[in-house]
Amino acid sequence: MTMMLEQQPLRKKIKIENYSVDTFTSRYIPDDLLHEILIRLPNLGSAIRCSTVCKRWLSIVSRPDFTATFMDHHRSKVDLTLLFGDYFIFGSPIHISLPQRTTTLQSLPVASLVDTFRSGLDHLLLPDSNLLAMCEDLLLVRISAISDSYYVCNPLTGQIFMLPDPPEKVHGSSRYLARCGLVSEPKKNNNSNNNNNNNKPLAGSSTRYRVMLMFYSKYKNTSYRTFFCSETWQWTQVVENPGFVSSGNHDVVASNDGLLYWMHLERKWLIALDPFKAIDDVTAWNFFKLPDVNGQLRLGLFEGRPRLSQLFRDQVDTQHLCLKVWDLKDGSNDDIGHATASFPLVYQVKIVAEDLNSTFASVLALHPSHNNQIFMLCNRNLYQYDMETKKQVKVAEIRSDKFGKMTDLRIFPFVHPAWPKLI
Amino acid sequence: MSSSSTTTTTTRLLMLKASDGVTFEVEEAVATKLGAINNMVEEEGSEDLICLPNVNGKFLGMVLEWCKKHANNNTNSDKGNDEVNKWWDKEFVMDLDQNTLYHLLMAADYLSGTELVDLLTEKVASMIRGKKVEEIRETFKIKSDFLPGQEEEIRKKNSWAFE
Repeated sequence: MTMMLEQQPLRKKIKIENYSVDTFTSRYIPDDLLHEILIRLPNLGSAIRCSTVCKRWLSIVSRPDFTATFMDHHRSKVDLTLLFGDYFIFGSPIHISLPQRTTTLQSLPVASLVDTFRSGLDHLLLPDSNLLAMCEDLLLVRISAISDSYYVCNPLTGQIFMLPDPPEKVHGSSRYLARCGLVSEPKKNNNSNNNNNNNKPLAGSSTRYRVMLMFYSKYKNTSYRTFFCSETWQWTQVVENPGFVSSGNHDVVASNDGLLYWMHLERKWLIALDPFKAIDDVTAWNFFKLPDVNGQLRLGLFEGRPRLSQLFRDQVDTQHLCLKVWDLKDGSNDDIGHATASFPLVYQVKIVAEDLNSTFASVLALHPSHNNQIFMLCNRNLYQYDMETKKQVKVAEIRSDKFGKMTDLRIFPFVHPAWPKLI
Repeated sequence: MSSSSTTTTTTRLLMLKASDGVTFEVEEAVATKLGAINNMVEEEGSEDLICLPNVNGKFLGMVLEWCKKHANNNTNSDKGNDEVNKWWDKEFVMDLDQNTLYHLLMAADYLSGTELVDLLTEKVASMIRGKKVEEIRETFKIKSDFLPGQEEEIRKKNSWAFE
């Protein structure tokens, strides 16, 4: 018996009776396949530029679901990308080798961003570029090769903007960049926004954002800060903060309600500020007392909220590493400047260290959406660790000449969002 | 795949007949890499000759060659095979001329070879990547059918992408 496979009913039929094998051009590709091709471009910007090729291409890029399918396709390939920011061990290259590249997790140095997103940023992301800060899909990058410039970019849309030079005052040779943050204005109404957006390929106004740079003086016990404001396209006047120097930790995170958080470890503060309300008025900043612990705390984000972690060798039971995780729980937080907060301990686990001679152990990143997963460094190895199942998976091996600084290495977990931010 | 036992003697063979009458005898495990054929085998069960009036023999042969490679590599269930497949895929699409590429893509789509469609659409996308609009038109032999000013209008509407 014989079976016949007819044309699939779902696809539009195309006439192929009288085609000649040699003159089969791209015109014959059905619209749905062309759609599949265009969502495989490296970023939305390049897909939208394709709409000027001809009317048919325009009609596909203009489909109401084009942006959504584009984002879905790219997210399905990698839902989490670890981006390495290597500024603080600058001058000593980091080598990362991956035991087994998986589809759900890729870890690459920031210089390989191009590879990760296959974006059109390759002409700008040179080996001398450092990822300084991240806020959802927006990145702050410094490129030393091009006269030390700062860029804000979105690898998903392919947009990249060079910021004007920061004020002279902060850039002197006796200053060093100690902290930097990037925060975008939170969406006012999530639902209505998305509905509007879905009617067009990628509409909506651009996102407002702020960049914070904090420099420390090598000789004076002081720091300087300046903020960049996307609407005015200017840096604010440099402000000196005497006695505001904190060493050790460089973590700055941007919460999903548009606040910047960082730590002052000597004074055991978690500092929060809303750069969309008051930048220069220190009295409008919030100072939360950190949990009273010895040793290095790390600051990260879980579901857009600040979360603290600590990994250390157990003093009594030296066979184990001890891992603690705290969430920030705001009290009356509207009363800015006088807010109270507590840090409930959400996890406390003992980890059997694979390498007991491990000298360096540090939490490098929190999983942004998995409650019980963290990324930790033990010696040279980066592990993804599950605090519930206590399973650890080696993600990468990291090498650097300045090994002691490795525990300070910053990793930015980039989650592919459902909808990209326009800058 | 899981239904057929691992010994070669029990492997069922299917006959696939292309539009130009060329026939291919392939193992069921290979042919069922194609969703359309898998469905037919599952639904109808016993048929051994399948006619594919929309695919030319030349391209059906290439599609089956791809299926064979992937079916073989997948049986040695090892993670290293992922890499092997990737390399082989790269070679498979490397020197395809556009004509063959489009035929293969349409054939793969018609036969619901999802993975192969993914590979081939990626390949076409790579031909667009990094090109200016004029270069894209040249590559794909497309003439602009916009009225004067229309193109400018699109640029204006999505100005962020053209900055």
